[in-house]
Amino acid sequence: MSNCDQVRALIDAAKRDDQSEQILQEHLSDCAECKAYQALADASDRVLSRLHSELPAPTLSRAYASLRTRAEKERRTTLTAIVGMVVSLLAALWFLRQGWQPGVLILFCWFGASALVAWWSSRLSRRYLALGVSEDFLSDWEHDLRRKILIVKSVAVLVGVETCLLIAGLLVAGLPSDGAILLLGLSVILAVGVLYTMLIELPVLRGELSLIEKPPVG
Amino acid sequence: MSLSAEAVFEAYYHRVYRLGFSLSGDASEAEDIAQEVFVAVVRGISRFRGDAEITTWLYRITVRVAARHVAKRQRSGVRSVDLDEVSSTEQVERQAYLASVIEAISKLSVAQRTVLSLVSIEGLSHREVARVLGVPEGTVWSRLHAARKQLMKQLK
Repeated sequence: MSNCDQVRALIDAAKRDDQSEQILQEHLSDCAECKAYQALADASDRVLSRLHSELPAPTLSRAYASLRTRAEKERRTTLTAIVGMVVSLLAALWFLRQGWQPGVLILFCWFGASALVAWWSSRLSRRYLALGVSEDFLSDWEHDLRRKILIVKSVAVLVGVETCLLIAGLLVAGLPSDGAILLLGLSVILAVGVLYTMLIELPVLRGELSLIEKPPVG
Repeated sequence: MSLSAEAVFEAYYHRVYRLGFSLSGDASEAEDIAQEVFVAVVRGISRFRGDAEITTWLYRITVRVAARHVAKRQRSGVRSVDLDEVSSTEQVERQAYLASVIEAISKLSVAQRTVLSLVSIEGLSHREVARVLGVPEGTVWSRLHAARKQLMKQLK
């Protein structure tokens, strides 16, 4: 590390002892570049301090209550996905006993989708934890986002096409039973979910990726 | 030393909230970000034994969560500047100035905003910031310098 690097670290240090202060002042009297660095640092720090002095302090008790509500909500989402898996599996078995193959197929698709949601939400939280202790945070974050975008694009397209084919098949087949109307409704919901992922989630992931290195546009 | 989620909340909520504000430029969004971070803390607290490790982890999760919030806001096209109601001319000028600072910060990349906030607001050293972001110390100061230059240029 060069002398100037050490001095710049001293300029940005929150606290300096007398010896460090002396080294700093001696260097600044000879180095115009570090002097300019210090002037810029002081000016921008003043701006940021002023901004933060205006920040209202949060109420800890209120924040803690909201935190518990949010944690409870996330727990309920995972539980709902697990219930969805169990119900889909039981319904698929019921259709199997009735001998109606399209129903079995669609219910197994629903079982798979519920399992995917449960797995995805638990993987997301594990991924946050893993990134927190990775050696190369920014680069791992970027790889994580790229991987997610790829998964969302390929899975969403696949599921979307499959759902549309199912809906078309059910309509062409003339809805052979009352249960098929329910399945048609479920397939439409799945298609809406896929559309939501493509139109809302994907642009957010792309936006997050662009934020890592590039400033936001507009 | 074992940590409880409550103890971490008490000790770090303000820091996470401040960093959330620096990155998003909005006080109510900063509260949302802090809460999302602490939901992750509740899930992952058992992994941590030391204070230093959890500080790094908290800052990283905050940066990640805040970036997602900013990306969502960009997508929805809503620009949020969280300012109080004003009455006097002096207050109007002050709020306009603060809004221009938030606007200038929003022109920086997330990496630049993070470095600037961690050094100038949180008082972390170059070495500590390098550990948080997983980049060399030289990268920290070059990003910091670039961020300061761009910030002051925007404000001129």
